[in-house]
Amino acid sequence: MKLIRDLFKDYRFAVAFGIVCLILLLAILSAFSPYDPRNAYQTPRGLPPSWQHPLGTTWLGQDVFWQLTFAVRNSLTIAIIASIISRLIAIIVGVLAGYKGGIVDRVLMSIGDSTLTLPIFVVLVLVSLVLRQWVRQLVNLGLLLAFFAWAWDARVIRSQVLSLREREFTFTSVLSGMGSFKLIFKQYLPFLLPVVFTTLINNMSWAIGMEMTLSYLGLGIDPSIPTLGTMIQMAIYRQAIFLGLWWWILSPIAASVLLFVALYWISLSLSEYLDPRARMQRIGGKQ
Amino acid sequence: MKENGVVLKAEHLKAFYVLRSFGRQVLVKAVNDVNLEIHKGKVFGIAGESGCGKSTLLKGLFAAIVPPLRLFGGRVLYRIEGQDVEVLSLSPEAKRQIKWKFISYVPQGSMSVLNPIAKIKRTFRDVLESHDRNVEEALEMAKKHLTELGLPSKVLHCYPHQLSGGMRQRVTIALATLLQPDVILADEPTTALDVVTQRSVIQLLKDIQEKWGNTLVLVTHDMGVHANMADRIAIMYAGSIVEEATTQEIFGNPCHPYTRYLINSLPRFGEKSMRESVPGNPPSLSALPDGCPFHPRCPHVLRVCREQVPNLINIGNDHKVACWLIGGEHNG
Amino acid sequence: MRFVKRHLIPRLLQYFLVTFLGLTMAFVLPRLMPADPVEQLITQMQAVGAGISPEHREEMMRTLRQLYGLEGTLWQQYVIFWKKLLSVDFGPSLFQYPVPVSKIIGQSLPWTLGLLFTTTAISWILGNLIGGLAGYFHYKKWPKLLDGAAMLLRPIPYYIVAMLVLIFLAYVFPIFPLAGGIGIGVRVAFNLEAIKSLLRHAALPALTLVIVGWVVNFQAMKLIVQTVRSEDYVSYAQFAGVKDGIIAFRYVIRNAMLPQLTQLGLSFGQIFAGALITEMVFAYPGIGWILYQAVLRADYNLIMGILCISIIAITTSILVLDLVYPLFDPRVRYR
Repeated sequence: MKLIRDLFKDYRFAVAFGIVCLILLLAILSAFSPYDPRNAYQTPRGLPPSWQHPLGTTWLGQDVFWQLTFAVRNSLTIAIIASIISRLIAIIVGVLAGYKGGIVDRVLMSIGDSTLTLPIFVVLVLVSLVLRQWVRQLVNLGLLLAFFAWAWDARVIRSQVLSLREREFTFTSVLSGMGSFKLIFKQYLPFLLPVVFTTLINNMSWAIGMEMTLSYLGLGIDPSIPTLGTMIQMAIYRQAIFLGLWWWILSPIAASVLLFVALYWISLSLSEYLDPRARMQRIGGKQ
Repeated sequence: MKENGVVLKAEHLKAFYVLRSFGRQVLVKAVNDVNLEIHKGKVFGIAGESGCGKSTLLKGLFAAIVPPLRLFGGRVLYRIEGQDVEVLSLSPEAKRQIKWKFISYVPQGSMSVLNPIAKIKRTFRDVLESHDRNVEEALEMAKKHLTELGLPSKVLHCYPHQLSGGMRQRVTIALATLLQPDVILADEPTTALDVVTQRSVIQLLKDIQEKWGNTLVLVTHDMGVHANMADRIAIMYAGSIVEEATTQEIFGNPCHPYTRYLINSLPRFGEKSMRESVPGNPPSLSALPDGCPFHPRCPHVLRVCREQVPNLINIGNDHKVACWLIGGEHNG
Repeated sequence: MRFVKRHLIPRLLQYFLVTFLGLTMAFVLPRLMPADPVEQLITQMQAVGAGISPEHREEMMRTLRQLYGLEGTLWQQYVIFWKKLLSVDFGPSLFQYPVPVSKIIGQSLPWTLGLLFTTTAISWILGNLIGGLAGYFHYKKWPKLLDGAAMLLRPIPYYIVAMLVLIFLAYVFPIFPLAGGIGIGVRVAFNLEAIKSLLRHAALPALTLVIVGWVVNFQAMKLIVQTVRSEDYVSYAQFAGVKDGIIAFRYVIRNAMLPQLTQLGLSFGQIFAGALITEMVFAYPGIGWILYQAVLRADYNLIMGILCISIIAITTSILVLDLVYPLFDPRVRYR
């Protein structure tokens, strides 16, 4: 598609895309792992990187590389669940609020705003603590994160819908008898999707980051399930730094940094591509 | 420039906007080989549709060619104290010294030319201080100035958003005449104003010109304003001047087909016939047609029009036209 | 002055309303969840090996319920919640029983606030200054380099930056201490030794917060300045021959600061969370560290206390910012 080709001209998108492919490759590789991620003591402990164990082994006798493939897969799963569900909620809420207006609008926005003004982090901590057992599952954590991530976007979508509602084609569509649903689906979505897509990517970054932070606190995914967060937490808990097993802690950190940067660059080039005003700002000859 | 009283001159001026859009470079030829001579003490009008490049031409005359606008050729000369100054090659500091003292600018009356977080007095001060004027004296003069222009002096203590559009326009006119420049460039001074205010602004500009004898260059698409004020008019189309003559000649004897359309489209007293507007649309300045830029819309188009750009030639009476139909003998 | 009253009173009312709603949500949230904090705690204690006989279990649960304010009907609980809140009583903490939560928070809050406000101020000023200059000279080389650096740093969450700073500046190159707010055995006082120790320990957490904060401010300011620079009033001032220095300061930066102030208010929640996370990584004795401890021990009261204080801290800071804003933007002052 022309869109993709144009995006590739932006070096950020090209590089980021490459990194994401790499990461996805890692995730897919997890299906071929010769080791079961949950079991410990499958390899000699604390070996530095070598040909047999490209990223070394942990103090618990696990191969870091293959652990990483699972970690990446699981973290991405959480991120995707969280961001897709929160986008869905945001779209539904935003469209309802923007289109219907009135009381529905006020109520929905108030609910959304209160999730915004709360210190999300502390609340997440509280909820994760109380729902400790429940949160240990990947999917559940994803759902929890989704619950806190829709409010901002819902507002953005709502204002878009508000302006779309006043446009000519709305009047003509309504007058020609198009049902509301159809109107929203066919006419509005193409305008809404670009924004939604960019925030989806940002959301994924946030979700991965949150999972990592929660795992550090011991809340979050069951430590025996490898995610980027639990890998780091395990490494710290087992004093990887003091034992000098730098590969154990730096691998997930490096992987996550790469992922964060890649996702960010993609969202940057996407939003610049979609926003003509932002593009204009980059224009300028030499002084 | 030994000719009497030419105070501002543009020679083969070419200024294009350079836009970069996803790897491709696009040139918007807003000012495409323009030659102008503006005489001292007169009112020179530049007319044309939106998007023909008039505002960019003003920027060029004002030596304000900044990215994304770039100079692609030609020069602009000011006659300052008997000397010809090629202003586009001056250093920024030298330019800054000349600006506002020799030549000033009245922008299109929009909300945003005045610093929104500064009181009007502060804006006046900034201009005065930057030109090393004794501020207290000058402010007194400014207050008198404003009153002459019909503004209460307490305007100085207001913020721009507290003033109406007409008042803001008058403030910019006051600022433009603050240092008593030789040349004033006015860019659509009446657009975006209501009719009543338009009239008072026109009157204002007229009064200033009569009183101080400065040169006024007036850019507007409103032919009525030109009829009222201009001594000479240049018609601009798609980045080029297509006709230039005295006001009487332009209105009484329009030669270029485009000018003819413009004049004919003006409502006249008593005539009830249909007003004809120019068919088609002006070309995009980034994709100009070959030859004469008007040929796609010209009802009298010849083969030569499609291939070669006509030169601006004098057909007598100080009336210049750029058209293959006219003065074919004068062209090579 | 009447204008101020017209804006001050509604804004204050809004502040109290939002704070009230936030605190109410804080009250409602744990009670909405399907799990019971008391049961959670008991289960956790049993998992660690504390032997609790069935009779004791009942009594423990009742006592805990009382301590946690979970006794009685929802309405009764709500009333008690507010009564206690207004007298700044969050109950006793479990972590340091029977020290009241308010005392613990009171001890740690100054550390957090000190760290937070100084780093926010530094990163805001530095970020805006450098970002402003970079936006103004955006066609030169050095802003492009900085931009590149910012693009690498921006997406990295506080947690990772903190960890990396810790690993590299406290472990690999042991320049700074690994943890704590002040050296062991050094008492907080106004002597040189104490101050030096304080600064040394605050350096790394502060560095983390300043790095993250700076990047955000830098990017935003650069973009804003690039826009402002092409604003009509700037080119008009340039036309009129106004000196560059005056334009840079009074026309560009003063105007660019306005959206930055607003942005600061909006992102304050995130900055606060970031400070907490950073404290946890560095064991810096502020609210974040206390939160970590509370989580380890499932100290429900403490967490609730921290939650309430956080809500109040954030809404108050936003209020202050909102009230300060009109001083900078006359369009809001005179309407």
